Amino acid sequence: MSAVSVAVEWHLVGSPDEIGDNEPKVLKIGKRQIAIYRLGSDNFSAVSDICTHEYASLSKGFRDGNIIECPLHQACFDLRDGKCHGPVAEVDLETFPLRIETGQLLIGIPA
Amino acid sequence: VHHFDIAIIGGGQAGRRAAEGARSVAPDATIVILGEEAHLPYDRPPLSKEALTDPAGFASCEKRDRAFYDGAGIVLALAERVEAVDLKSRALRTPERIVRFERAIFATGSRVRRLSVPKGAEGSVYYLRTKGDAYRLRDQLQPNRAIGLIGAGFIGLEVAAAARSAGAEVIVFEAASSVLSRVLPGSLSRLVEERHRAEGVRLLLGTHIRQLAVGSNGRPIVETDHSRYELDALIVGIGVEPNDELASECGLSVRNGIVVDAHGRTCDERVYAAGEVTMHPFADGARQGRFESWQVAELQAYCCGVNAAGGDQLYQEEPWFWSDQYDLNIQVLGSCVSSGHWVVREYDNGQSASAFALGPGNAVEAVAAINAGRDISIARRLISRKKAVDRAALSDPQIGLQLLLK
Repeated sequence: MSAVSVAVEWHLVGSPDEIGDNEPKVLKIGKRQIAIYRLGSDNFSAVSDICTHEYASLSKGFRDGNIIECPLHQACFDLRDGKCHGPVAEVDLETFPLRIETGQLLIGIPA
Repeated sequence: VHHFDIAIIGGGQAGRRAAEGARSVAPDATIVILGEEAHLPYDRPPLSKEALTDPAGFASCEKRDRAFYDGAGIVLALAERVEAVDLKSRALRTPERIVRFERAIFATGSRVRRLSVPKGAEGSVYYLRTKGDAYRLRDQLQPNRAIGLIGAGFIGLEVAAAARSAGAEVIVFEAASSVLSRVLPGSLSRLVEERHRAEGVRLLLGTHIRQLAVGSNGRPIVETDHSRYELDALIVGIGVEPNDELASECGLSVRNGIVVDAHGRTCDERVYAAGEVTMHPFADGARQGRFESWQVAELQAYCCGVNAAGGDQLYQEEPWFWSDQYDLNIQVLGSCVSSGHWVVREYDNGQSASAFALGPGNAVEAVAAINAGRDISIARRLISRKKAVDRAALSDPQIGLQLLLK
């Protein structure tokens, strides 16, 4: 869970149990499409679901550990920090803070 | 006389990537890119896609601006064609000057194959290779204009898709009986064909062109065995050939491209070659080929630059390329050596699919996918393992493909 440096609005995601090891939860908040992945037993990550190279839903790609590969042109991103690892894309994914409150997962979106 | 540690001949994507690779290991090396075109180095994939339909589409071609090259200390000698290279004295000549070098990298790319066109029709016949070509072609793609395309390869089909999006009438002439028949199995070719026809493209397969003629006002005419088509513009997409003459003239080994090893080195240890002009080894080193794709220009060229500047990196990739037509994303990975047995895996009632070419021992050699890019990621791992796969599981979309990796 990353530190918050800008003002965010917290949105309810739901129960962490809804997020499987292999199935991220994809949600639309405002204009953003975001995917929330389970990285460990109670370790989650929220990153933009749209590839920074061309428009594609990354959650439809192949996940190998902490790396997601874009289905369109095989760009790779680290789910932990959104960093892009080539090929094709050169811009990192936006990441979002998460927190758990009374058993519910919340995501912080820049206000 | 100008002197550089590394002289890169060719100012395209491969030239840029070779320079970036060299700079990554040699912060102080002096590097020059000599390019024939006046433009900054640019990537070509958008030229046959968004650049033809979107006024802003050209912007995605230039990956680096001039400030990048200045900041990285990479000298750009643009609109400066290299006329000769002398390996013994390590010097090259342009119309402007003599440049001496320690290491040279040939990144001279390819040029389109041309058709002989009757006098008077030349002005209405188009090719697509450079930014200038794309600018000229874009003006032709307008509502109700009759556009003919010769060749149903990737470039031809991408231009057909762009032309339909722009509202032009499109006829494609192809001698083979299916599209992309060199790389796709029949069922995947048919998916592509159906999509183009649904978009209104007239796809004339198995059609031989008897001759080209010229009509009124220089309008090109295509005569086939059965018919005669008068067009507003004719676009030719019948492949490319390597710009390897300069390399050949200075004594490098050339065989359908400049022959290099997995380091990108030619038969002269001070001379390298980068990008699609190269005949280079594929992943396992046993096969080799010349391969026209973004991947080679991007990754092989970078690796080559690293090595030319004193690093040690191997380029060991399976050939991979993609094409985007309408909302179809087509990808092909690997080289199909045993002409193989394709096992097809269909999704969404056959609207998307992947196909796996199996070699000896049921090992995956290559994969093609239409809107099934996730399968490419998994197949890349299957190909590198060379292990037998279960054919039944491969063809059953209910069985997760990733289970084959277990």
